[in-house]
Amino acid sequence: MARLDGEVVAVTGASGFIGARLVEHLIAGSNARVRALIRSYDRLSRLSELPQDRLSFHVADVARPAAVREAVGDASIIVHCAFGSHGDEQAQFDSTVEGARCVAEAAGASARRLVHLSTAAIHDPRGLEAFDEDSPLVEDEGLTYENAKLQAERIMLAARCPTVALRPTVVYGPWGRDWTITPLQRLTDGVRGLPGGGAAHPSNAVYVDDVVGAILSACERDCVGPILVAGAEPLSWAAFYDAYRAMLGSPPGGGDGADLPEWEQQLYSQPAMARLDRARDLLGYRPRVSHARGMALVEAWYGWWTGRVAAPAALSPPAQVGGQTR
Amino acid sequence: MEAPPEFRLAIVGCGAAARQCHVPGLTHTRGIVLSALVDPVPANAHGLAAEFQRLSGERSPIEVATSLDDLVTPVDGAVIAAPHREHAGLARQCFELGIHCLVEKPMALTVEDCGSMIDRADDAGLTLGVAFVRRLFPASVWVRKLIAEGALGQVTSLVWREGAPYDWPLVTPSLFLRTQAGGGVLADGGSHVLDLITWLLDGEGRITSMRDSAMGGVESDALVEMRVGEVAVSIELSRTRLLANSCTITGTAGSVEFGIDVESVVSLSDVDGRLIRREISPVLTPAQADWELLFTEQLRNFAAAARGQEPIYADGRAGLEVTRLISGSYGLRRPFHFPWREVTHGAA
Repeated sequence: MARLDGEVVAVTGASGFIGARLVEHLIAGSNARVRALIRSYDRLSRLSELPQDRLSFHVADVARPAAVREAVGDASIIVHCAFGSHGDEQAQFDSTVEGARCVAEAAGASARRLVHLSTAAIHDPRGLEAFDEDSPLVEDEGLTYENAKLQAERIMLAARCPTVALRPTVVYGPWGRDWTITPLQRLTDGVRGLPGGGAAHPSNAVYVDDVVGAILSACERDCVGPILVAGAEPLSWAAFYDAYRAMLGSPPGGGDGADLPEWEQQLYSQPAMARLDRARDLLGYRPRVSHARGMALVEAWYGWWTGRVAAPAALSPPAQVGGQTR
Repeated sequence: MEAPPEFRLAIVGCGAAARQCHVPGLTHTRGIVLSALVDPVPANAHGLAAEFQRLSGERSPIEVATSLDDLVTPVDGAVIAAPHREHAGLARQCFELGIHCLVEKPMALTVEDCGSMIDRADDAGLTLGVAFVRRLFPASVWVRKLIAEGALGQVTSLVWREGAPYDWPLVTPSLFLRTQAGGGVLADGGSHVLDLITWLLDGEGRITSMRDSAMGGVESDALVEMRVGEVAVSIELSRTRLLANSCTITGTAGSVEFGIDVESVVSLSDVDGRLIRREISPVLTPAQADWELLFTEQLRNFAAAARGQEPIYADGRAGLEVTRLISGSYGLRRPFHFPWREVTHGAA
């Protein structure tokens, strides 16, 4: 486990999907003190369940420099998970980019390391069978999520302290909105055209704990620059969605995607696999959660989260991650 | 006939409960004047004073103080809406100053503190009320009458499911701090639920099991089993999940289901499960179907009780009973095992 003895780790976006899971790991699995940065106190339900002797909560708008400086306090490591997720396109874009600027400045002033949670979505892997950190990036001048995250990553990598920018692919797991709750709700609502059955393009999906494992490694290791993070096994979009269908008691299957938005059709039709050489070399990254295990955990969580199961039963121990690894 | 003097009120603790409940309620009261706001952070009190003046249109001076010791303006009663851990000390201080108290839930964190608050109030001849405002929800009043009249026969079970992602606009994190809140969802919203259930069933509760989600902090999810007399009670509470938000009470002659919100649908069925009636809950005195008017009525009753004109809706003994049940629950707690929370990852 990551010990992080004597370290103070500030986590922005600490009540979010990945941020909250990171804080859980830091409190239960390391010796670090943790400063959890949140947008408002009402978001503390999940984090407040943790032991509080090494954990403190700090409300800060990450786009306000003074608030960020005060909230990160004496942090030796800053993990920046926050991004603009509220308001209109402009507000989200500004929050993502200005938030990166404020956190980079705060880190440059006092922190030993900065770990930025970027995204593989800043790549444009069209026409490639595989992509890595040097593959083309999106060329987008608009207020899109991808462009905002690209600008944010550039700001972070120019910070005055050693900085790692992790680029996870599609991240799923308990509490995950975009790639867990939303797909399950869309399938429940009968949305047509989501992949399934025979469609075989890779999803590169990764279970949230493996992303957290990469973040913890990035906190400890002397490495810098962008690093892709993806799941344990080559996993098709069809298998990804069919696992959710199975959870809902629906048969495998899918459609041609014609009813889906254009960005989604493009995503599901890309053949490119994420290469993990740099993650392995620099982080010692070894994804530990198989897709079967990840989906079993999601299924247990979803039954509880939707109120169908009051007290979840124990799962059988995880099997060794098998299959082809990248 | 000369009008009685106004009841001069202080609010002690200017956080979310004061802002969302008591101040809006005060804008509709007659004969009660907001005289003082007390909070260790002056900006919280000043902000709340401005909010009250904006809502009410009143411009009477409101004293802002950082502690009861600093208060200059004489007050007759105080609403204690500070962090849970401070309730007992603040109430005792009020009684020493001759001030009646309406205390937010939970009344205190220990049975001993509750007992001491009751003793001090009794010794001083002052009113001690607990803000169990859900007793004024229309369905609460209607269902209690239904049970008392025997419409359900002998009640055998009660199932309460209440949960939603937490969204109150908190001013401080105290509600989520173990040292300040003394517990999680059970001590907070669960206080209302435990009070309502024992009030509806008119009996004393006995906790038989409790499971919760805390891992050393405060729980956001809890599952409590208890008995009230012969009635088997199951309570599921959550700050993270959207649950059914309803209560079902079953008896030998029928059952009733109702929503837990201010305005809710009540469904009455016969013993074979056939629906007899289904409607928005009737509003019987003293129930209020409007959020702000709930607190108006609670404050009116508090002032009237302080003047000896009527009994307080929920007294200190009701508060003590709830704290006893909460303490009993935590004494029996077993943690949930959530497989998705296991921490297996770390750096290589």
